[in-house]
Formats: sequence, structure tokens, C-alpha cells
Amino acid sequence: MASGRNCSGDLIVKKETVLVARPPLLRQTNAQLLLRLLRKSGPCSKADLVRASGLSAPTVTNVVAHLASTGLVEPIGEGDSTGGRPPDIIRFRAERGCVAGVEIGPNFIRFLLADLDGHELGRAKASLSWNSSKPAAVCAQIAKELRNLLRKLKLDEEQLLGLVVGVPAIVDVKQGVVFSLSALKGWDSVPLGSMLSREFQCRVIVENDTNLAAQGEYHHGAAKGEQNFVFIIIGEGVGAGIVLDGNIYRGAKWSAGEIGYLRVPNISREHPTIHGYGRLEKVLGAPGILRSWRASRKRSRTHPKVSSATEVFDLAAAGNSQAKKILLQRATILSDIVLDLALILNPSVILLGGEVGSHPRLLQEVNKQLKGSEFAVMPVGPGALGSSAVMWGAVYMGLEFAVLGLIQPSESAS
Amino acid sequence: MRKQARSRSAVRRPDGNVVAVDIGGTNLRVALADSNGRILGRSAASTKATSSPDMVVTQIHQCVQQLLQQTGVPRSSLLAVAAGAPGVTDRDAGVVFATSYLKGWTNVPLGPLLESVLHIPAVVENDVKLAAVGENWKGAARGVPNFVFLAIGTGIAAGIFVNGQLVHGPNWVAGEVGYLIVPGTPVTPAKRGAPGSLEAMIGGEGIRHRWVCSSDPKRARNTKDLAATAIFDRAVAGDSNAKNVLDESARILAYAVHNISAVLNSSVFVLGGGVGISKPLLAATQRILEPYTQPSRPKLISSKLGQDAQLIGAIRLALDKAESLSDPQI
Repeated sequence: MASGRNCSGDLIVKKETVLVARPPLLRQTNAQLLLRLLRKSGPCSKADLVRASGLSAPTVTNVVAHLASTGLVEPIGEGDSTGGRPPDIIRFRAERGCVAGVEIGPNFIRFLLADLDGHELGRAKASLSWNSSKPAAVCAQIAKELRNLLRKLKLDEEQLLGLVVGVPAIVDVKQGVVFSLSALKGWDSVPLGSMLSREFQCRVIVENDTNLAAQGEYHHGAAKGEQNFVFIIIGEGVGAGIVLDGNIYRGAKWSAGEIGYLRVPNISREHPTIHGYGRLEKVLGAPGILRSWRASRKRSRTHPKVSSATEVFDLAAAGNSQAKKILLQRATILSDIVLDLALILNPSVILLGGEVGSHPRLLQEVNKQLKGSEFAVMPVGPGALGSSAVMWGAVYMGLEFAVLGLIQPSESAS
Repeated sequence: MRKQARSRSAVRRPDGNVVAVDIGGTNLRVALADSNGRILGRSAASTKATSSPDMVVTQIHQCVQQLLQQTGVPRSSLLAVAAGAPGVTDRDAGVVFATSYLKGWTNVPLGPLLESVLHIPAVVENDVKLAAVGENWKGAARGVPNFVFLAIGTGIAAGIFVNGQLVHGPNWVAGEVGYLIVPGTPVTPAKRGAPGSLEAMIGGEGIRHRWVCSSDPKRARNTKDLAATAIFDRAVAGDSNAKNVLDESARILAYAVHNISAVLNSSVFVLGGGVGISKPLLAATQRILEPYTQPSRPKLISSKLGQDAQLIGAIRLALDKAESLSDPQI
């Protein structure tokens, strides 16, 4: 903010470090306001914008001209006259650019591209093997696949205005650094944000995947309008995205919601050891469920062979007693987690997602166990976005800053 | 706190004084403080026999009158009152929903009651949340934006600060961690009104119960009335029974701290309350947490304000209320 041009004294230089409403900043704020109105209401006239924004007519004219020069709005001809000269109708050009939401999973990378209105343009998926999962290789693969997808959709790379990447790890979002990711090779304090920034011109954000999934459900799914909720995701691992007063809560050192480390009864009575961490994750996650099933198959060969944890739960729903036992144990653990979360945070909703967490039979059993609890009174329900939650959360986060790069006051302007 | 955080130094302090009230299961404590938060006088009364809401409010009124006389402060200088109650409290409405420590307290409109008696604006808050405000203002967690104040006395509850704000939750029950389930706590849910699972194990009564059960019956006659802190002191002095009780308490407390920390990633845990201030308990718990480095290592510290944490938090809230009323509307 501080500018060398305005050097009439210490006081002014100091003042510029806080947000003083200088003309460029004002113009940017006004531009954002008008864009928001246009996106919400659809095409309308300048007079409508004057009425809705409370800004003066000359200001609106100026800002609309500025927005038109960036390609974000365009006139689309004359509207209906109410007596005088027919008004010029303008519209938001959602096709001006796009935002990419990327999810890095334990063995895949998924892509979702959306226009500036958040409408889906296209998807892509690539598989990750352990040998190709080193940070540099993953980064290169993201760049390649994303460029392919852009090309396929006939979009220029300059049109990519935001890139948000979700990873199953603790992330320093400010620095774009992934702390550690055990599912992939060599992922220890990886500056993924700056690595991807070397590939693409647009702003890049790296975020924890469950936080993004919670954002997805907040904007577009089952947590719409909820200001305080927790989204528990159980797939390969276990994690939670926490939203407090409408904002992602990341904690003092970015690790809030790492519920895979919780200690609850019914898992182990052993004394804690370093290798005991994440024990809950090992039991509750998909691999743990499969392990339990295989162990029971060893005892009784009549049990059918399965290839996924959800199949075990499907068998439970169909009445298989061994599968029921496995499901019941997981439901008990999950109920304890839900109760602990309710006591600590008192959220208004708890959502369950992920391959394991979204199984209707598990949800049903958890709700049965929580019935009558004095504190776990909030509804516990499924997420609405399924396996797309992380990508949609990434897209929505990207939309928040995508247009800023176009309307931001540059150093030379003003 | 629901309102926007703002720089306290930027707000002009109103001239006048505030009243702070801490309502406990056995004692009522009232303090008079000036606009800098300095305590000018204190008064106390017993709530053992007189626990109905009306009687407590009358007692508070008497304490305030006595304090005004004692300090020579004119009644007209009083700007606001803040009171803490040991139960689930709706701060917006000033209503104490329920507390098991005071008889006949269900849905008590304590805020409006205080306003009608003292004729000044009133704020009502859960006592443990008030203590967290106190520790954040003048105590062990001064200026720490993400921390948990864990009060362990007869009951257990937490005052949680997230990004510099108290967490309440839509039903005002955030931080009721006395019902937390961790390894070692009973797995069947507590009955309504009964102590929570965590309280039953490491609340003051729970600790004493385990001490009496584990003691030699002959000896127990002399030591069954020992307070939890005294039992822990005995452990340090070498009593093996006491040491078992301390170790088990510390392990369960460590699990609770670890779980809250895994969810919230708070940087600091401040231990307070009659049992929580025990140094041997803190040391033993910290030792157990030592290998718990993932996802983050919680740091335990003792309350700095001790019994005054609630009162000092109440002074802060009363001053906030007075300042919000004297702020010119923007």
C-alpha cells in the first residue's frame, strides 16, 4: 500500500499502511460491489446498479467502464423503455475466465474447472502411483493435466484466474506449504504453492482437503446457511473441516480438525506411544475396515470376498452378522467422536462424508446411538456433494479472489 | 464474543465504575472496579442456604450497597454489571438455562433481574467462559488468540478462545467438556443431572472417591475427607496409593487435553479450578503428554489469576459493556 510518491511526511506514509480509502482502493471496492450485484441479479441497467448499490451515477458509469475494459462486463443492447431513452443493459461475463479446483488424493488427482459464475465447465482425473508421487512429479502432472483440460475446453491459459489445490495433509495456507503427507512419496514440508506458481500466472492457494470439502458443503451443499458446523470425512483417513461463524477454523498452527489423532474408548487401552498415534484412523478408515473383514474371513471361509470397505457395510445392511459387528464397532467410535465434537464446539450440524463416512447404514447406526444424548443434539447427516466436495470447495474459494487480479489497482494506474 | 474485535486502547474509557459478580455453588463474590479494571473493594456472601435466584439477586444488591458505602463511590458512577453463573448461559438474553450447583435455577433471567435491581446494564456469562476472559486479559493467556481455559473443580468445563473470541455455539453449550468421552471414562452416557463421564473420574469428587476406594479401610477413616489437591500432594510425598490416583487422573486429563487439542489446535491450555491448580497434577499430565507430538503438542500452564479469574473476566465484560454504550455510533 505505502507509496513512495506521496512523501509529504511520516504521518502520511504511516497512514497508508492501514486501509485508507484512496481512489484506486475505492474503485476496487466499488468494482467488487457492482460485480457482486451483477452476478446476483443477472443482466441489468446502470440505473438499476445505481439504485441497488447506493453509489452515484457518475461513479457507476466510471466503474462499469473500468470493468468493461477488463472484459468482466459487457453491454448487451437496449432494455425496455419506461418512458425515456431505453437503458443500456449490461451483464457479467462469466466466460471471461475460469477457476480450477484440484484435489490430490492418495492415488489420484482430480480436476474441476468452472466459469466465474461457478458453473462447471469440465472435469479430469489422473491416477497417481507411489513411484510417480514425488512433489515435483505431482506438480508437473497437475500442470500437464490442467493444460490439457484447458485446451480441451478451448480456454486460454491466461483465462485461468485462480487455482486452489486440496491435499490430505496439514497445510500452512499462508505459505502454501504442505507439512507432511504420508500417502505420497517424499512429501515433507513441500512448498507446493510456490512450485505451482512457477507453472501458472494466476494466484495459487493450497489448502487442507477437509477444509475445502466443508467450504463446498457450505456454499453449495448440505451446510448452506450454517455458520457453525463440522464436516467429518472418513475415507482412507479421517479428518474434519470446522467452520465457525462462517469461516474455516484452522487453529493456532494449521492442524485444527485432525481428529484422526483423537483418543476414544473401544480402540485401545494401551499406553500411548509415538507409534500409537492415528490409531483411530487405522481402525475407522477404509483399510482398517477391510483388515477386520479379512481377519474374520480367515476364521470363516463362508464370508464373501470384498474389494472395498463400503461393500462390507453393504453386507451389514443385507444382514451379514460379521459385517454388522464391524459396522457397529465403527458406529460406536464415530458416535463418541461426534459427542466429543459437540461438547467442545456445539456446532449446529455435523455432516459425514467420504467413502466410509457417507455410507447410509453407518449414519443410521450413529444417529441411533446418539439418540437421547443430552449434548449431541444437533442433526447428523450426509454431505450433499459426495466425492466432488473438495473440488467444489476449491472452486468456491478460488472464485473469492479470481476477479481481484483483474480489477486490482496496479502500481502504475491511479 | 459476538461483536467485532477492536483495539481496546483505541476506545476512550468511560469515567465510572463497574460491578463484577461471581456466583458459585457455595459462595457469592462481588467486586467493585474502576474504569481501569482496578478492584476498589470486595464483598462476599454464602449461597449455601440461600440459593434461589431472587435471594441471590437480593444478596448481590446488598453486597453492592455495602461496597458503595465501604469505598465511598457514588451509586451514580456505576456503569454496568457483569455476572458469572456456574451453568449453561445465553449471553444474548442474559438467561441461565440450568445449573446443578444452585437449587431452583432453571431458565433464570439473571440479566434482567440484575438490571431491575441495580438499574444499570447487565451482562451474564458462564463462569468458566468468564475465567477464560480474565486469563486472556490479565492472566496466564494474556493476548493469546487460541487457547483453552480448563476449569477442574467439582465439575469440569472449558472456556475456549478461537481467533481472539470466545466460542459459545448456537445452544451456548460449547466447552461443556465434563461429558467428554476418552479412554478410561465410563462409556455409558451420564444420566441427566448426574456428573459427566470425565467429571466422574477427575472432578474433585471423582478423585476423592477413587482415593477412598483404593485406600486401606482402617486408614481411610482418617484420610477420607482429604481434598483432591491434598491427595496429589501426598503422591509427591511418596504415598503409593495416592500416586496411583494421581497417575490415573493425569492420564485421563492428558487424553482430554489431547483430544481438545486435536480438534482445536489451541496453542495453550490454562488449568484452573480447585483441582486444576494442583502443581503435581499439571506436572504429571504434562509428562504423559510429552510423546504426544502429533498433530500438535499442547502446552499446559497454571492459571495465574486463581480464584479471581472469574471476577476479573467479569470486570472485563462489564467494562466492554460500558464502553459499547459510551461509543459514539458510527
